Amino acid sequence: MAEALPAAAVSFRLIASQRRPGLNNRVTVTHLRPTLAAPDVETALQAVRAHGLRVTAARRQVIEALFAAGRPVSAVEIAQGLDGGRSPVDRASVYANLETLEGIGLVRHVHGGHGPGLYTLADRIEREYLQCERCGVLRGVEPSVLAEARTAIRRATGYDAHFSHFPIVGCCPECARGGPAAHGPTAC
Amino acid sequence: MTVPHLTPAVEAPSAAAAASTLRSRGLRLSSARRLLLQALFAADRPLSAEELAVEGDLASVYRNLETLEALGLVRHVHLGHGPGLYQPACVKREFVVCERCGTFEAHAAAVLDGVRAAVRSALGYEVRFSHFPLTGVCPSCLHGHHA
Repeated sequence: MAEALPAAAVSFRLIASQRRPGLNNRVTVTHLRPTLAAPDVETALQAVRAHGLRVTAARRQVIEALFAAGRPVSAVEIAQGLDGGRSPVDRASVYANLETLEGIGLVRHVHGGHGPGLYTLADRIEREYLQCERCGVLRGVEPSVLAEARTAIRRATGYDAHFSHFPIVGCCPECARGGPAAHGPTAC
Repeated sequence: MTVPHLTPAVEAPSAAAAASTLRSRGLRLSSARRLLLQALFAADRPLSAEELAVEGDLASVYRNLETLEALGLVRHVHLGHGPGLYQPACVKREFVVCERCGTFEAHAAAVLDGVRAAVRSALGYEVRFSHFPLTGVCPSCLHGHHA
């Protein structure tokens, strides 16, 4: 019975007990907002003002941290001042600002496995991500690299897939070879 | 990520086979564990710990799921933002989720082998969609059938 899956896909939605209260349980709505491009901090701040929002000190710090990081970072990393390189920001305020900035399309997040969401400037997500479930490394690639995978997904399921919000999860070549980053005795 | 998920799957194709694996590893087949295995094998989709805790004790359901997962009999999958859902490890079911309407589809693993091959040849990753689903927009949403 283990292989007794029907040939056609089984479709389902999460039932109430599988949903998290207070969320609408679509994957993430803000992620579907159009991207707001901002090549530098000043342009980003202008965009914030253009949306009728105030440029508070914390908001400015969050934006500056995202530009300084140059890679997707967690809210906690921003709050801690990116490993001491910048001034710390109140954590709750970082979360609130990231949500606001995501709401206007300036920021987006990518989910890193079991870890926290990672945030980056929306126009920097020309990248797609793969994550190794052994060493945890999140790797960004140009979307064109995954074009054939996307075609294969379309052919198999009819879905139009992208990997900028949820990475493809698997085992990276280094861990598959049992390299130094690998942990645990099992094969992938 | 979660280490138990990397435990090799034990080929136990039924609740009874899973129960004897459990005993052969020196673990007790309590009635709670037996009921848990029966529910997991009877379901046509992964179940949450809350659904499995029909008679109360959620904490012991989690504990038993953890034990079963460490043995390689059970695995969890992350669907949406909620808690992990559980299914027998030998069920080669993989998932695709629509990020617009929130519908999940379970597929036999062979359906997505072409995707696996494409990722392998592009980047050398060995990927699977049994732990974290593939995310995209479903055909209905693409054609504007869903709001």
